[in-house]
Amino acid sequence: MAQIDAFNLSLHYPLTGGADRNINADREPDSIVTVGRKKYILALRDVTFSIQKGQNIGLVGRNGSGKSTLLRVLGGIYTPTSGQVVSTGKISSLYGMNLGIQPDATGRENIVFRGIIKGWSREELKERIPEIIAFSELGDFIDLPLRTYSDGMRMRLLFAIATCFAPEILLLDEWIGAGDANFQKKAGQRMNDLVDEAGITVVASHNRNLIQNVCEQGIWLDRGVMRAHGPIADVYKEMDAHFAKVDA
Amino acid sequence: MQPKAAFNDIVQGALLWRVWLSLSWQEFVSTYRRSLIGVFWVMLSFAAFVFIKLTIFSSLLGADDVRYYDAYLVIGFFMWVFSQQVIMTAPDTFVSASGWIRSEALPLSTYIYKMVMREIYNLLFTFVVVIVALVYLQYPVDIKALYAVPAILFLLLNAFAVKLMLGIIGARVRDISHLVKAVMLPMMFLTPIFWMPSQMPNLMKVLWWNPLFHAIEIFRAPILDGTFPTESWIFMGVVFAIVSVSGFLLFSRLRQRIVFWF
Repeated sequence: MAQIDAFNLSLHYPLTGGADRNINADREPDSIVTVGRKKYILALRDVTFSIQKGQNIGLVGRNGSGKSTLLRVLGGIYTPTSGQVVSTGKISSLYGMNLGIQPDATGRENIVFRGIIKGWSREELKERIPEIIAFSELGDFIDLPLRTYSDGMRMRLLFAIATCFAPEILLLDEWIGAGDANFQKKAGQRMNDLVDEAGITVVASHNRNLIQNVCEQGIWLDRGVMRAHGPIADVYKEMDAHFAKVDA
Repeated sequence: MQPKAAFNDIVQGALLWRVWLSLSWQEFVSTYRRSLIGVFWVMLSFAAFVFIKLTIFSSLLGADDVRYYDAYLVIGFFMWVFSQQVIMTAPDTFVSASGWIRSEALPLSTYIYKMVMREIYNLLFTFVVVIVALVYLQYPVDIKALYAVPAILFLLLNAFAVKLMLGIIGARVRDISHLVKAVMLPMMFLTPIFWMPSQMPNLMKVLWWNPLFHAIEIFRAPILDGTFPTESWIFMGVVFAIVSVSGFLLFSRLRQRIVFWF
């Protein structure tokens, strides 16, 4: 049974490697904070929410609003500066098509790597590989190195791996960009299946059609602040009203 | 400071042996993929180097006992290549794994184990050449040569500590990777591999403080002379204590921040 509770999440993203010198904190008082000699981006600010089992959450907001950061906090990649996340359920995540892969290894080998990381046994791997190949529709391409794949092929493979073991919590960051319409439909179906089995999916995307098709609930982030959380239609309505005012 | 979490990371990473074994082996093999003789290039390039060094140096230096010198050079160079590799790739330990670190919530030590495994593969392949060379030289090896076994295991432990420490520093300060490479080149001549300490007694008074000398010595002396180099073991013990403690302290403090540095 899946559940995610976030309490007062804040994340200060440290600027390093010269980036700290190139930015003037005084000109960006809304997004940069200076502590001592170090500068931080206020990537998340006091975000609190609760996601119940059986919910598909769409994470919306403009570029740099903190969607990816929030997904990484939920996935345990980033440790929040303050606040905490309490989640129950096996997590599977997809943060990007170029991360967590060995480009020189074949598609099949990459399935094995990701399977091993997820702790699948040898038997489970053997059992799942044909299923993943079938879902990703890669056919014989599965034995070519990943670097030869198109974005769409890579996406299909990674999505198939991420979802094949029925994770209880699925975190997806901008995963849709590369898939064709047919695959999007299939992927949306699989996400719905997952939610039907009392799972949770959290999808960050700028693709409004996708979000409205698969998500009933939404969270709107704006410069690290959660501005709305509720039925997706209401969230979009609030967001549009806000930006109509701001951009006018 | 989270020493307990840092310690847990190192233990949990070790338990993920399936992950680092498969990743390291794939990376090792893929370096040579699509080449005709594949991983045997590791052996071949090392063998060619050894052969050329033997022909040039043993005649150039006019060593008293050519066979002894040849064996000295082969074993010393073998350990040099290993040590150099361990140190030069250490600052990239986490940087080269940034794609994994940013997408999988695995213990960070997993990537250190992975790097150490790659050193082991190189070690095993090049050691074949050492054996062949010693057999060819008909060099008499004592049973005390087995002291080299704990030495290599200890050096692998050292490699872990070096990669932990330099991996963190190298991820934060990207100059370190270049600095280390720049330093290691002259070190090849400042470490007695091609020349013997007995040939340069004055220079050795200073170079005795070079840890690489002792790292090589604890492995080389048992095979070459059938001795247990106590002094060098003590020196390396101190080096290990310093490197592992400072590495662990850095890890305790910065572990959760490393992911923000890429």
